[in-house]
Amino acid sequence: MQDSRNLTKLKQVALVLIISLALTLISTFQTSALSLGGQLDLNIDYSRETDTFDAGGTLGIDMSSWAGDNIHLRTGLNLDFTEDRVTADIDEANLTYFGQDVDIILGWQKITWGAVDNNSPVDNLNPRDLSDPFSEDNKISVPAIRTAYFHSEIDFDLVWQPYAVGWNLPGITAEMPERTIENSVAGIRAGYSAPAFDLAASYFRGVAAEPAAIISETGEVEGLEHFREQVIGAEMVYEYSGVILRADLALAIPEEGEFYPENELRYAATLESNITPDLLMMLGIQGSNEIDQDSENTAVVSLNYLYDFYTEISLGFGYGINEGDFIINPEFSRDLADGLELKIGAYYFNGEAGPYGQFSDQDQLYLSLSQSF
Amino acid sequence: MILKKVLTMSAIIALLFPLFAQTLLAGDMTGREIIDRSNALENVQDMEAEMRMEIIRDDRVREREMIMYSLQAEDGTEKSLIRFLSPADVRESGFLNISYADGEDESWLYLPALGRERRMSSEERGGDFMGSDFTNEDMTRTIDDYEYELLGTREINGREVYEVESLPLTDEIAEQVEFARKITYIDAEHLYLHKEETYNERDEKIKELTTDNVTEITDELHLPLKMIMRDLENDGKTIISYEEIEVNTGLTADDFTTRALTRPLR
Repeated sequence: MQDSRNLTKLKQVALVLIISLALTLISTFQTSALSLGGQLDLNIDYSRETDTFDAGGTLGIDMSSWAGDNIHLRTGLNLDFTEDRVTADIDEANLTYFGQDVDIILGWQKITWGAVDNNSPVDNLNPRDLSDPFSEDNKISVPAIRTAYFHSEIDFDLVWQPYAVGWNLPGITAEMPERTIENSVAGIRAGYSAPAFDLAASYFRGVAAEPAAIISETGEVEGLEHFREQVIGAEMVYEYSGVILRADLALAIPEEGEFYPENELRYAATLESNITPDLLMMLGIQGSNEIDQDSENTAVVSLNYLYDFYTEISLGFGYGINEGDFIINPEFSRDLADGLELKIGAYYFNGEAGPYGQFSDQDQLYLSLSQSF
Repeated sequence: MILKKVLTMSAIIALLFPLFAQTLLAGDMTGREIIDRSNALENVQDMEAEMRMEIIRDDRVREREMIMYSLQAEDGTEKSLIRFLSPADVRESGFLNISYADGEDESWLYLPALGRERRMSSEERGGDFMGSDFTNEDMTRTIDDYEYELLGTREINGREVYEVESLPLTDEIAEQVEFARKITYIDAEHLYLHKEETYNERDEKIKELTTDNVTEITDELHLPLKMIMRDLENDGKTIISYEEIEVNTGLTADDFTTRALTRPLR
């Protein structure tokens, strides 16, 4: 919690610094006009377990501007409100220098690695905020210096975070290690693109944002800890005859210690294809396998049908292969006007344990309105 | 939300500047030669344009604004990049398509919410272009997939036009593009598009494209800045208006990369 408060204060300081710098650059370089945009989301959820309705929403505001031809400044603010509280946090606040072959991004940012869209095992630089497990955008921005180099079909990405930021898990606390250079986070990724496929390899070293359980010799969970680890990753995207395969593979190697877990293989792959021009199907599998241990896998299927330009009907299904648990997520969405979207849907969980069964008391119906501006 | 946008925008394939034209001395040309020479990108190295699209359904009008860049490389590769300016929920999104001389295509989509570019399938020829009454094939005709016959000449709006019939070469292509034949009317002097009619397998006219606001871009290039597509089956209408068009602006291959696709808009 202390880390969380410090993080917010640091972000506030960073926002003030970046806005000050932006104003200086704007006056110096005759920048482009300030671009202002955002989104207002209003939600009503009905919980089957408690027979209650919850209302809330989020206001996201993004501001950006160019200073000269090469410098871009961006800040984002999120305001979350529920029936009894309002919280504010800075989403991203960074400055980007666009060079001839190099881009440098400095500040709070979100960095996406991996071929699959969600939960890629090689996407380890940003922690997740699981205070709302149903949120589509749950990445927490991190302070970092990112340098991207581009040469023909090859690109390199080099990231350094001065300190690690942990996942936000409701009701669970795991102390972050001391903020030292040794505990900083670094990653490098090299990508190659060719007709019909993309390949990438990556290396991550630092404190894992996701805490792991400390298991005693008797097999009991003694607590949670952010282990230092290395992750060697590989990514691939391949298109053949209208079918897209996306696959990520990662080998996580925790640094040695008394209670540290074993090396672990993590993987995720999806196949997607338009069955008709209006119907997209995605099949996926993801899981992990501690070396010499049983694997834990989930399979997902989603169908998205575009009824017309304004209306989409989707059905998501996830299945925990080990526990036999599952989730069903039907959803109807309609654009009521340009930028105004209505969504109505439901989450139904089934099972005693596993990735979906653990939420079996959180079945819900939801309705949301989103207005972009 | 993201998937919806992906699904919607995956329908965009290589939005090139469609057909429409250059000035030529009209000699004895075949139907194929007329179509070839009416392809604007055959005659310039690159193009840049702002475009507004109005999709009209009953009394409802939806507007999309975008900026488009196109490049014809020396090896025959055609590259196009689209960035969306409005409405707000798709602003900053973009689409990159590279169409190789051997007929292979590859496409990437950029959605700010994803935080990176995303390779897409490029096999959606018959699908709607962004939910409009244009199909992807309307926007990016694969010229080699049809046989052409010059049916003759006639007069439209006081100008002499060529009447060219296009037939898909195979049943498979006909199935993909979802029409049986097209009749295209091309200006005999400046080789820009006047009108195009689309027919289904029962030889019923299902769509009609008309153009307006023909403008001289260069001495050699005349383009209609307004295109109106009517879907005669569902009574839909889509109007595409080019706000500004510039040609030979010096765009290079570096302007058609995934890096360029994800760069913030100015």
